[in-house]
Amino acid sequence: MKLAVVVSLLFMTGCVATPVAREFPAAPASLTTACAALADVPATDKLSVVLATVTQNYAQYKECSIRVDAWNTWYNEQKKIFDSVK
Amino acid sequence: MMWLLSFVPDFVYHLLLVLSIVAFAASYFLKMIPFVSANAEVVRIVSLAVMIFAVWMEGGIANEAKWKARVAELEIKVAAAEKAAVEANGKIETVYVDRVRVVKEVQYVVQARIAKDAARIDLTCRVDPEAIDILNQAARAGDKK
Repeated sequence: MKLAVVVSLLFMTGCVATPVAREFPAAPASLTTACAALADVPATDKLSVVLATVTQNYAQYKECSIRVDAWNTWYNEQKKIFDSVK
Repeated sequence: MMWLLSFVPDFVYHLLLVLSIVAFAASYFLKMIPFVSANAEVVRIVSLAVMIFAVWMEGGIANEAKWKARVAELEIKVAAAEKAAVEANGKIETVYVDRVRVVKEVQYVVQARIAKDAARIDLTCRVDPEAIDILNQAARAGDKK
């Protein structure tokens, strides 16, 4: 009986796994940096100083928004490529 | 049992199959040979057992070949996907860098314009400190503490 169990176990070792390792690609470093906090307006009564800070914050927001767009595009593209291998 | 395929070359199983078939047939047809006629039953049983084993291993060899072909096919696809991923990374990064550059260029122009017209802007408008507080409060909304 024991021999039968051992023999049947030996017969069951025919199953193999496909040894093809895959990794999801790493995102470009430029896309993984966090968005900076908005700048405070310094204490002033000059509108030009306020304007400068506000436009600087607008630019910062735009840059961050572009990064999020690029991140989404990157993920969708890479997922499509990754899923295409079957 | 298929682990045997890693240790014994495939031709051994082909040879075993051929020999077992020959021995099995010989146990019926070569009765004029004294050894065969005397041990016909034993030769038949042993050759049949070897034949079953060899056929089993032949199946394993065919299956192994199929898997190896599948692995090779997948490796080619993975290599192509890795190349496509690197290319996609490059394109996305280029688009990102270009768009950020445009933002910075516009920002530079706007800041230059503010600097140029600062005297005129400040001449007709004085900002109340309360407005600064409100702006900064809005800017800090949702910041990490």
